[in-house]
Amino acid sequence: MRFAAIIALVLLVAGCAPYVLVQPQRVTVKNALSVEPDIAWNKINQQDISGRSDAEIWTADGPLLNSLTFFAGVEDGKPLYVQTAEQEKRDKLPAFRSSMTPTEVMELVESTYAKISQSALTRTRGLRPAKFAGKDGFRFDMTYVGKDEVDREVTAAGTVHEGRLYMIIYQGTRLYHHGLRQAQAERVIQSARLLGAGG
Amino acid sequence: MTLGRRHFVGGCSACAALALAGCVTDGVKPAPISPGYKPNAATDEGGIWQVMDNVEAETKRSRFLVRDAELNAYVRDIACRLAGNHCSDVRVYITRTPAFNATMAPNGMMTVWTGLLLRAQNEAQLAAVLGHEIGHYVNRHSLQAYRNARDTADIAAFLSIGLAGAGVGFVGSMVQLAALASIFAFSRDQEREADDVGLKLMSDAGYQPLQASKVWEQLIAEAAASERPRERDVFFATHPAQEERAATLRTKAATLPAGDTYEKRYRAQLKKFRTTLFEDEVRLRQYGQSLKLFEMLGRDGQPDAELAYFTGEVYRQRNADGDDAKAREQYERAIAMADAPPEAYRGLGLIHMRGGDQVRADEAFRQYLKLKPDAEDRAIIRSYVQIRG
Amino acid sequence: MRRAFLFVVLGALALGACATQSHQQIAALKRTEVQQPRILLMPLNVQLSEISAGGAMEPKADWTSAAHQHIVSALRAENAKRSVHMVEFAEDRAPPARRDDLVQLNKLHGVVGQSIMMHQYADQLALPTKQGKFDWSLGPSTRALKEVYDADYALFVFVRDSYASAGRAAMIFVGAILGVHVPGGAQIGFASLVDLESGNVVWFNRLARAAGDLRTEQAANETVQLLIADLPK
Repeated sequence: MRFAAIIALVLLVAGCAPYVLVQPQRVTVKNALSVEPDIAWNKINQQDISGRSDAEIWTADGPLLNSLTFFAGVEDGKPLYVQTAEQEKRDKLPAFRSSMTPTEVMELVESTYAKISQSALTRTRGLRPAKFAGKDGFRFDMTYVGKDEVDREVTAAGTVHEGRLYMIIYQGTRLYHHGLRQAQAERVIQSARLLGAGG
Repeated sequence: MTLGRRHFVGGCSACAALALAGCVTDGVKPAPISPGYKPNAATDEGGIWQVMDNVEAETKRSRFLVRDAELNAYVRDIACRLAGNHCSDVRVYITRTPAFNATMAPNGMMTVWTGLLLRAQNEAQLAAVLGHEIGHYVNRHSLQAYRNARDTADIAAFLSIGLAGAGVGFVGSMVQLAALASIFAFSRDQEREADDVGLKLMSDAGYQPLQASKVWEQLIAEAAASERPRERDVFFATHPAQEERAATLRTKAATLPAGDTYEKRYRAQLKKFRTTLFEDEVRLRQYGQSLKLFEMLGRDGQPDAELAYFTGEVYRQRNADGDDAKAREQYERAIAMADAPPEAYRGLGLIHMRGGDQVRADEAFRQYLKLKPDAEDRAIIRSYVQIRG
Repeated sequence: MRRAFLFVVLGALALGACATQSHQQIAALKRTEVQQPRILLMPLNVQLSEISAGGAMEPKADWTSAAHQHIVSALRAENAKRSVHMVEFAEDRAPPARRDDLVQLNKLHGVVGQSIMMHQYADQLALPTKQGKFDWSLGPSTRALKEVYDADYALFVFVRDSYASAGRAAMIFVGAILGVHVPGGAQIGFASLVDLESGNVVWFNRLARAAGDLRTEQAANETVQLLIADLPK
């Protein structure tokens, strides 16, 4: 994704290691969620970028090819991705609301993707109830085409618990990289637990 | 890196000295383009044309291209009538981009954004914008803008155009168009000239010239209702001083024949795309702007269930104080019409659910599922009914 | 635009190292006694530009067209020498229903190629899970290309070549006198060979140097030789 490429560039210039190994064992994500992957993943290290303590992104084959994004406890009134003041001025992302139904969370994801990728070619489908981290939640699928004109397939799963949004989004190129790590991404989704929620 | 590469390519030290002193600025205005014109490949113009030819080849393959034959033929005919003896040099591409714009590349590639089709209220308004773009094309404004940019060394912009050229694989054509838009930022004089040409072309083709000023007036109203800083808007970044232009166009239109708006046939042509155009607009979450736009689209007072439904969607998604009541009102207005989209019931259900009126929410959701039993989201809608009902 | 920019940054960082750096996954092309290996040459992605005095890149149509021809004929000659059959991509050879798949494959190769450039060539962007391994693929949907063109492999070539203009050269000269480094022209690109049965990228070579010339046949031949020097035979 575009964000990832920009982050990578910033870190490159700053001389930090942008990708950190995630071992196949139970790990906590943003102190809000834990998951147990069955393969090693590469976490995009965002520690050095101020103001971006929101979503955590993992990738197996590089962010342009596939990625797992964790939204770990998004609060009421906050967008899915924290924006800088400059980004917000240019094109403010819509905010999550605690009262949102799965229908509205899906609309939020679709709008957010459309805005970030500046593409009208997003299409959600198959919204359905599903357990997430042992809670009543939802799943849906989406296809989108970014400016690079590559078709991408998206799988989303999440829940709104105690007013916060917990969600994992897996995406990859339609022709290959989504399918390539789908089982491993599914494993991460299925293993999700909310921290401090008895999950 | 060594310095021993390609020094003084066909150059002379006098030119080089001039260049260093900053004397190479080419302030000469290129002559208007003649029909059938092709630039020499060895010139700067030839270079731009080739890059644009590649962008065009990419555009033809683009996912963003609207391929409907009938709509394309319709818009192409309008462009052709306006372009006159330049008709065979103009190629029209409609792209799924939900913002107001049309562009015309120096090689004759005209791109019409779907956001323009949603905003134009009649064929004359669309013709006004296309005529304006043809005005830029005929007067080779982009070549002039390009030379200015080059001579002031807009490095970043040219870097990207150079890289994005020759098409395949790396960067999508839409990115290139964005890059080009920043390079080909027209001067006020060029905009004025394009306005004059556009007005004449649309009037000559039998369109009502007054619609040219109306387009800009609508845009000003929309931008004024935007939550975003005005200068960030794509349109206002490239088209300054809108009020002045609208006023000038209105004054000049008064001296021309009345002409026709061709509103009916425009609406008929757009009918089957309207849902997509609305969806693309709503997805942008530019609530204030969208509401203003929808209000203007409904000004004729004709019953329009789809317009009411999407207005309801914007209010529901904005979710500010008092918006739930307005959303409900719009959904109910849509539902009262025979051709209401089933989704209006879903919207109504969500509003009732939010307001804690479970009985009415269930009723609306059941109605939605009854009208659209194979809805993609039927499982989740059923769960709303089960949980609460 | 930003990706293109990233590409330039990476390319610029790489200019200090060797002119080319390749990854080879196979020792030789699949070859039988009766049939030569068949390589499909994908549409070349080549752009030549002139750098103006101020540093702007000006696209040059005549140079670019010449470079296109020179690269294709150099590749054709080289493949003939190696007893490899080269097929050229032509969109109209594919049935209309399949054309979109082929466009998607080309786009997919674009992002795979970019990923390789980032994660394989820039140490700072290395993916820890790869442990330096070169395993990149477009997946088996590349068989669409195999079927349409009856080819075993596809070769992708991407080159951006820039040359200093007279004004720029003067600035480089003045800069050198004043001890200021002014970048001149550069040749940045890559070539990539994809096995159309598996979709795997079986060979990849990156080119980055401040030398070479694609405008004349002889010099272009040198660039092509360099680009595909260790392409499996």
